[in-house]
Amino acid sequence: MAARFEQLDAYSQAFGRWRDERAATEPAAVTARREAAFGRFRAEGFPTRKDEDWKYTALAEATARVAVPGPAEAGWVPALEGLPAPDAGALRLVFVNGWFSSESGSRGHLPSGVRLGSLAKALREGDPDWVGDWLGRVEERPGKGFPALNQAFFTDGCLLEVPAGLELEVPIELVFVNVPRRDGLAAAACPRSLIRLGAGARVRLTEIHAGRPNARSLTNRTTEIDLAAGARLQYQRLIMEPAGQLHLGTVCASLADGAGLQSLVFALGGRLVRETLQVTLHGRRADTVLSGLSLARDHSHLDHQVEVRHLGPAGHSEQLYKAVAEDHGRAIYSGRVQVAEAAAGTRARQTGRGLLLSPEAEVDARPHLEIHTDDVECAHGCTLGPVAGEALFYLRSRGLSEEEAVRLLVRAFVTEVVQQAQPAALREFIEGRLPGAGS
Amino acid sequence: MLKIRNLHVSVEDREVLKGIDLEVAPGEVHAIMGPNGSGKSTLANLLAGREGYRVTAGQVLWHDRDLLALAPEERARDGIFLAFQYPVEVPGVTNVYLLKAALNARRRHQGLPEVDAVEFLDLVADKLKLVDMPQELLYRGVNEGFSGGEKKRNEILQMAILEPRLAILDETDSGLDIDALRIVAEGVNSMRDGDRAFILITHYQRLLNYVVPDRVHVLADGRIQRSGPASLAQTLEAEGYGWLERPAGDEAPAGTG
Repeated sequence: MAARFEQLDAYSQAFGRWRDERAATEPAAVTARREAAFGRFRAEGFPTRKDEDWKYTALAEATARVAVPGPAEAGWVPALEGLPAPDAGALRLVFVNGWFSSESGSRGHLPSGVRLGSLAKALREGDPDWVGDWLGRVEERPGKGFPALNQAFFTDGCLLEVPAGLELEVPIELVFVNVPRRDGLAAAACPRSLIRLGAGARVRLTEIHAGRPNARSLTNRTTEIDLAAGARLQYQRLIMEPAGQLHLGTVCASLADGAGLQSLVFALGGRLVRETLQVTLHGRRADTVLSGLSLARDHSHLDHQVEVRHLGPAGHSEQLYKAVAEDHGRAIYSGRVQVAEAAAGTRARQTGRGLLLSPEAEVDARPHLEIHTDDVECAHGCTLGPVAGEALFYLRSRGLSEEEAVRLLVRAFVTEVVQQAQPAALREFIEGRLPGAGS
Repeated sequence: MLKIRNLHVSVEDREVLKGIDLEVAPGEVHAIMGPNGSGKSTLANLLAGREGYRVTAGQVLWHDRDLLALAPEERARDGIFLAFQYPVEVPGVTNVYLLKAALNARRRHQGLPEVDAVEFLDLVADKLKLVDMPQELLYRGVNEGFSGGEKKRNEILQMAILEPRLAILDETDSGLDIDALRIVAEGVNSMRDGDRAFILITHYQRLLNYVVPDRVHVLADGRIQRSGPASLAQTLEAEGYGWLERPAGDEAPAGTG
């Protein structure tokens, strides 16, 4: 335990310095929230394998490092190699080590009234005024340790506010890259993004998370999404961290009457990637489709914790998570559906599928249901296993090599998820990274 | 071309084939008949390279090479084709993709240039007519949601496109209505050319009304009990398999094809 106290002390000292720096550039109320969150982190510490939802996740590496954000390195635009090309006409915001760095694309097609930019800048300028209040809501966030640490240490992120009734024809892309700190220290990028759509607004938003192989960093991000009545968001994440990176994400979405969230996450790499996604259907007839694909190779550990809370009546939710694991790769999907007493007429489905390409690979898929009303239709199914021997033999008996047959079967396995991605270039990018795709 | 000698095969420690001798020469059509559980499908699948079988004695020569040492894809590229008893659904891989990949794998092996998309579609259009299959099925997942008859016709379509040297049809006739059966039979007959050999595995004599074999073998209890000319099939149809339990009569000995 001694080590843990020393570590907390190191965090406390780092937080003291950080708080003083931030206090100079942001409203006192925001700094006070950082203080409260750090207090919570001190009290609860990092999760361990004794915590039920961390049972399968080896966290030692994530928690042994004392990693805190470095200063913003303004104007630094790292070369972005190996990323999908920007969507045609997209507005792309680049964040480096958690700080806004640059923007590309034209704002000419952005309707007036849309607010899109750096969260840190909005706080500095005290505009819009609701932002400070919003940031307090992190107390309700799921998960232990990391959400509080993000609240205490958050750097920058995207603030997107779309007024009621507007449909954004311009797709928005957020690129988060981690590069080695100039001072050589282990860096924590703690981006925090707020996405708020007014009634009936429609947006497509894509996040890309990447980094330099030797950045020795930890990403601890939080994204909060608020969809007013009838708003629809297509929210894609492409997480392609280099082999040694640690990436922890918390995404919380709140849906009002008739709002719709289509969430699609691709986890392609990283030592440890874990995304906690919590979607709360507050309103009537809210609708969410949550899909994910993990490609776990080498020693990657890719983990999705998904929770859908049906609080309003007649909601609909679908979860479809697939994983392909090879080498010593490990993939986890834990899906939870909670149906409150008031949520009569709920329809919910959870599906987890895992494909194992090596004897050392491992996939876990666990559905959980918690139902407090009678009038529901809930279904779940999880299947895990190697490539179907029958299909493999069938293809080989037609002259296809074993390698080619496996490649085809993997492609067939993932297509249901991949085909949801937009634009086509993103689908092709992911297909090019499938096992055996010759990347 | 194919020589099977004293072949003994076990599945999970149970001996299924107990000494098979069979020779198939180019251009010949052999029918292997027999009751359920006699080992017919084991023989077909073993020849195509399915895993899970243990050969405890004997050998299989394919053009004087050890067939059993070849991977399934090597056998296919060298011209051995198995029409599956239960064709496998492969959702997410389109039928047309598999057909083209299979044909080009065979052509590469033969030292022929690969066919391009246009040539391929011309070729497929002809073969589709042969098996009376709508073009739409080309663009579906392999066998995905196909009816039983469509699956069997899809096997014949693959055979027609791949033009194997030896085609093994594993109960392709079972479960087919009379029209589908005719289509399958026409597919086989149209491909008989004096070089290509066929092994028709069937439980019933029905298919043999349309495809007249050169030799008929009766497989029961892991052994070829009788071999004879096409008329042996009619004897079986009339008398069932019960007579097999009686001592062998005056039929020719097994494996003289």
